[in-house]
Amino acid sequence: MAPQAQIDAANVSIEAAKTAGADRYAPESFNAASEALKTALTAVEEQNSKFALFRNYDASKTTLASVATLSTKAVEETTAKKEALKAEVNQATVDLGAIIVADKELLAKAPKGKEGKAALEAIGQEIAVVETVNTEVTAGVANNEDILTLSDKIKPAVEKAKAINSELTDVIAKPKGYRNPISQTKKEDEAFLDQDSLEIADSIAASTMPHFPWPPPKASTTVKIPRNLIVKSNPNILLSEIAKQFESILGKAGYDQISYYYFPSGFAIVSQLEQINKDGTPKSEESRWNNKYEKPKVFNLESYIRALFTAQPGYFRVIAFIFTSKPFNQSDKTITKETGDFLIHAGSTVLPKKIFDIPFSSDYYCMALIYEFKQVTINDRPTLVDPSTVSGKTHLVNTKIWKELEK
Amino acid sequence: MKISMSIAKKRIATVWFSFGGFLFIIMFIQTLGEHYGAKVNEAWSWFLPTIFPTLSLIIAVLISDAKEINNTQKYVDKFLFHLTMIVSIVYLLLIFLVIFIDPLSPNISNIELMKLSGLGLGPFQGIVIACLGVFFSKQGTQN
Repeated sequence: MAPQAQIDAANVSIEAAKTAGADRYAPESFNAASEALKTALTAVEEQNSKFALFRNYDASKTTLASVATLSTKAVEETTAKKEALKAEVNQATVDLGAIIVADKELLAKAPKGKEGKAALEAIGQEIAVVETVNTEVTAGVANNEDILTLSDKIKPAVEKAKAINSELTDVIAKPKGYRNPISQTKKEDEAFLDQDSLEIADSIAASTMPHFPWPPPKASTTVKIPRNLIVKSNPNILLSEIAKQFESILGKAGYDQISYYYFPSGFAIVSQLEQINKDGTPKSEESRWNNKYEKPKVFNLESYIRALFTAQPGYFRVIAFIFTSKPFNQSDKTITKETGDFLIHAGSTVLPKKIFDIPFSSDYYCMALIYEFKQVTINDRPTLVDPSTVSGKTHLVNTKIWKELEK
Repeated sequence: MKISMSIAKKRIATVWFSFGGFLFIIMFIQTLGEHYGAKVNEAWSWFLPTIFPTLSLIIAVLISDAKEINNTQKYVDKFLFHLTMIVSIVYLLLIFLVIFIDPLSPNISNIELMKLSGLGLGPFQGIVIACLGVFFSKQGTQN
């Protein structure tokens, strides 16, 4: 019998956690509980679909039991987070008050030239806005309003007040005509070579490009592409040049569609979802780019009998090439085939060249994350293959990407 | 033209049990081979009602006949027997076709095919059961 009572109890505990605000204040624990419930329900469904004599709900029961524990943990974390945020917001209002006072003093000292007058008036208005936010947040804390919203409101205000402070300090300290080098168009055209510039380039990329999921979802298999296959004879190769090189390599391997994503300290190239055989070789051109499961073709008696009596799984694959200087771990979260398919549409079609005119120094490396999905029959949902029966390198060899890299 | 009632009943029962048994074995092997994946319940939910009500009817009649004390030879009209036999065989062949055509139909899943076939098989099953009902309920006449 399906453990209906335990499912109901798990649903109740999840609802209680949600009511407490755990989905916003303790999303990791809440998501863990929700995921556990989903896993349990999938397992129950899977058992229900089996012949009655073969059903076994032990695993589902264990997972369902963990849902309550995780939900309780999420509620406890929520309470603690609310308290911590409250203290944080209180402190932020005090700090912001002090910065506003300092800003006002600096504003009074700032030189008022012909052009500067209007700018200083604008800054004065910005200080007034920040002050209003501070007053609203202080009142909100006193009225026990949602602390997360208040925290989200005060943080940009503090940043703004600090930016005004820094701007006014610069205006007072720097000679007339000085401008922030980063905002100058000429400078944007130059390669960013020092550490500060790399950070700035990273933040520009982060704000202009769609983000690859972080931390990256668990892949079926991975492979680190040797540096010599990327750099070849050009040790000063830039990341933007590597992107072009990969675009060409993937094109030659048949991938006409690729997407670019921002990845911390670098970028990611994601290939189109393709249908593959069990050994990682792509299916024939007519089937390869079909993102729906296809029944195996019947061409003789043996294939007919196999198709009549057995499950004929379909395999799908998405490859993400990560270029970064930052070490990373994969998360426990798994992605679905639909998400894998969506990645090709959600990314950027080109890499913003100027931002990535950065040398592919020895700190950088390229990691291919291979997401393989298996759909057992036309009646099943595709699931991530974990781990893949084919090595990461074999996947790339079988797609001819490796061969192109070696050229 | 008439035929012995007991022989006619046995022939019809043989057809139903042979085809039904064969299809049951096929479905069972397919289930073990995970041919229906997560929708094995739906597959059996389609198959069992297509065969078992008629098989149950035939079994009930055969048991009832076996219990009958008066063993006098009865006869039934050959046309009615042939009609029932043909309708039964066509119906069973249609079920056979739904199961065996699946690997050859690339754009439709086996469950969808079963559901689709239900539109035609349902009314046809009504005709089959009506013929069998009339045939088995006939008392027959003594020659």
